[in-house]
Amino acid sequence: MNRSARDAAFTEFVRARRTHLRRIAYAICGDWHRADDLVQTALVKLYVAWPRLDREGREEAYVRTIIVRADIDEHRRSWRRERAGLPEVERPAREELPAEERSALFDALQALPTMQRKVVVLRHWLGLSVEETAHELRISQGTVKSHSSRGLAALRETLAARD
Amino acid sequence: MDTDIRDEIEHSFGDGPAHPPVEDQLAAGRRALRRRRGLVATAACAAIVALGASYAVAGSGARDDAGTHIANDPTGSASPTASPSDAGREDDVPLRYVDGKLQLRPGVVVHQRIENPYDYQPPKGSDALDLTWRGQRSWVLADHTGRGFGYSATVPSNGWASFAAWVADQVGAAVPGDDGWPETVRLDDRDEVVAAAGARIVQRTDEPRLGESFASPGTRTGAAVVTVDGDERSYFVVWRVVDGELDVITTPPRDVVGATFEELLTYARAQYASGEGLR
Repeated sequence: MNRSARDAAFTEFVRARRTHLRRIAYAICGDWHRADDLVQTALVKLYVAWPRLDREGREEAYVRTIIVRADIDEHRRSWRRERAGLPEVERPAREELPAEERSALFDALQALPTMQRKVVVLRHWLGLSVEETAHELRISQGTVKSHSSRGLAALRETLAARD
Repeated sequence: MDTDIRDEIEHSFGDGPAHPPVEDQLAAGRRALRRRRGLVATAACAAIVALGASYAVAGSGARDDAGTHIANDPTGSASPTASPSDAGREDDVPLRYVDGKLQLRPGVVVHQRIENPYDYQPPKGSDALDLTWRGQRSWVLADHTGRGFGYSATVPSNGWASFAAWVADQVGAAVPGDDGWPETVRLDDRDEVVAAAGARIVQRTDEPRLGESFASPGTRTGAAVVTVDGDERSYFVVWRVVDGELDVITTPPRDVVGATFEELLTYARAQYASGEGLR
């Protein structure tokens, strides 16, 4: 694959999928600027690895994995910077969200603890199986199920209150 | 209900602000590719020196392993053309390209070769080699492009489970977080750390006392020696459970040979106390 062919195929993929990919990033991090950064990071890696991934037809899965894991790594780094001895607590990734149009359900999604939110996004929005979700997030299938159960319960409460 | 939730989430937010120009995203990818190739072309000496230091830290087992491997490696005969002449080669570099063909210095033993890992089009080309030269085992990436000959090398280390995993990482083809080691432990449905499918925990402690640079107080941690089906080697692994996620650090099997579990733990504690860690 020469450079022009690589560029053309990459550009076509980006044009077709970037809205969806950025929505995944936004659903996970709740911030459009951060979502842009995540997608950009993933697309740069995708371009470098393009010939092999294009042959295998795994472009989108590769980008999604990078988005999800990059955001996980960001949270891990934050945790590791915390002073030792502070109690570890689950908490939403962001305390403030930009004022923009979104539903109460999205706010409820963002209020979920980080890993619960990722599980709900992958499992119940993108339709990944329990096994696929566990692999993507590198957690056990049992943890996927428990996060899924708690996350869905919280979202259902929001939907019930709305209705 | 699941379909309802899917639709509800799908419609719970919009598409966001305008995208950056796709040309910018393409340009960023091209720059990354150039940077990676530039690093390959210029980082040889620094890589050898820096990683040589960590090799020494890994202990004498690594050196013994390399030496044994040279004599017994059945793939050693798979070396590309060996040239009788060193003319035109750069000093301290075990290979060169002549008319686009890879040539090795006499005495270089190739254990494994991955052809064209960068997927270049002719007349450009690239090679990844697991080789031994002058008694030193190295993982090497080399390429020849219109801008000349590029070369980088590292001593095989803990960071990658295999030569192939290292190459994939170097050329940007690896998924972040995939280090190539076999799965040894996992979280079960009760959120407890147990042996992964096909693995067996030989020795274990859930109080490895690896210090606060490894995990803050209260974090679940552990260490074990584990064997894996189809693999005669043993692995020493340490783990921590952070945000419900199991983070496993695996050390090379060669470091486990001849060491007691307590010795491995002592080594791990020293590594984390020094700030270097095991990864």
